[in-house]
Amino acid sequence: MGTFRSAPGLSGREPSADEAALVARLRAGDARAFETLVITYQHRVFGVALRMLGSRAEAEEVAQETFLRAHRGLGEFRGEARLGTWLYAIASRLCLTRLASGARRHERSDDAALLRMPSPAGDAAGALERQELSAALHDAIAALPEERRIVVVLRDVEGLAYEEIAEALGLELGTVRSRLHRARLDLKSKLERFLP
Amino acid sequence: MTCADLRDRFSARVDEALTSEERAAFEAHLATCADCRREWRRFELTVGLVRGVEAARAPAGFVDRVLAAARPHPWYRRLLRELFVPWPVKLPLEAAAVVLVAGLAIVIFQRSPELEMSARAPAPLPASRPSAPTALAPTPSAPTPPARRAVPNAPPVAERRDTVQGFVGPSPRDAPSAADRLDRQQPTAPRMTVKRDLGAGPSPPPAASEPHASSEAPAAEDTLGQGPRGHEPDGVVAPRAAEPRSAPPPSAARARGELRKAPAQEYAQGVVATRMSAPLEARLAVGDRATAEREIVALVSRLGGTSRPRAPESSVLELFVPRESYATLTTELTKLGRLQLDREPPDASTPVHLQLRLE
Repeated sequence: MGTFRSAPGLSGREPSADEAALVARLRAGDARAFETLVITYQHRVFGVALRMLGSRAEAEEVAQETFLRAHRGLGEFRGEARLGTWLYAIASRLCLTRLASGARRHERSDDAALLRMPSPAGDAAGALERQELSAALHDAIAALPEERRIVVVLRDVEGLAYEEIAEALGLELGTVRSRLHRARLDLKSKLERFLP
Repeated sequence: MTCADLRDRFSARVDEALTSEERAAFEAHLATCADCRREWRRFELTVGLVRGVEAARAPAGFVDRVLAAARPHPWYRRLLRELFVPWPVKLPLEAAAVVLVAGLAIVIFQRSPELEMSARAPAPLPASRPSAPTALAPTPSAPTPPARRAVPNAPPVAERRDTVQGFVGPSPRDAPSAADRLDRQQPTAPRMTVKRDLGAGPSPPPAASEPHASSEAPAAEDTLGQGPRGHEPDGVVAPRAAEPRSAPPPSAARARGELRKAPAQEYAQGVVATRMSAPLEARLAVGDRATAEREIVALVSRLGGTSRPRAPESSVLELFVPRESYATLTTELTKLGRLQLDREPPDASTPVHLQLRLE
């Protein structure tokens, strides 16, 4: 594979001044700061859990546990990484642990809620096709091996940089690239019939 | 650049991660290879589809639920959580621990005569006058009237409880425990009879005061069980046939259970009285124990006190003398042999309880 250069979306971003202030307030035990954290990251954390687990109920459990662990472990947050990366790391670990444990209570995924393709109004045939494509995409992502699925979700759905993914998952950068590429090729092969 | 090299760079290309040279080579190959151009277009579309997925939204109320869960619970809820969660694991363990501790407590309680006797009600006062116990001896035909009525001049509870020490006094090494002795001396009489005789104790010490008896005896009587009556103080053995056989003797455990039903006030008074009047201990070196015992019993009787004969295997005499006769007693005992006292009696009006070991 080629050499990766530093490009937008690939390298880890430094915490902003606002985020540094939020971290300081969180460490000081400011309840409002924690509320801000939850409000800011709730959808992203929930999204990762939903795409990994395929069940809204289970995803909510994991997302809630993610924030509770963050609340308890604020003292361990070094502040070098972004808060989002830290939360993604917690959520990813929880998802992978739950998937590996085999003790899942919600085996069936919520197909309709998992993936939604944006659709312009007034295009019935297109909407049907998009619905079918959305289901196929969901199936394709769900069929990915978990270690590849988490990488593609963090990169292509959540938009994390490679470095952030590596940090969140505790992987080497090369491993992240490799898994991501293989995941994308897997998806492409599963979506062949929708592609020109 | 080969087709395989190009396709390995699809991800880097879609993430804009190729160097300018790599990108130029990439575009040059695509321009000349239709298959790679098609594959690249499909790859790019696939990634576009994944990236085009609508962002998920957390369910309504999610923030509130998280904040509520993160809010510190009251200490008792945290304690309960720590104690019982996860309950399938902790509950059986804790139940087993409770059973174990309870079992240990029972074993320790049963093996410790002092503990057992402190929880037990007072034992009867040793008798020097045979008339009172005789009056208490039950007959098969006529049930024994309430003990309180049989001996109206019952001694005050505090004093009667002093006498409990007469059963407790000897250590288990020297003599059997009070409970064991009771069992041996009264093989058919349940231990509850000890409690029953509380209000009907044999001859009170001379210093006994009347008012206490009337106030305390009924309370003791309230605790009486349904078992047979008929405890005889030492030295007065009632015939076995005199005991009613219709009612089976309650077990020791039942007797203890009934004792625990005793009014709290009475129990507390008994314990306090017992603790406040721990018996004196003395040693008397004599040549002939039997002779010395006879003389001591006679001496105590002359002094207006009571004595309790020692058990066959015991060398301890239980003596109860009025406080004012204590000095005379020690003087006379000194004449019988070498007397060693552990301490002086308290300066109080209560009778002196002396455990005298004959050596």
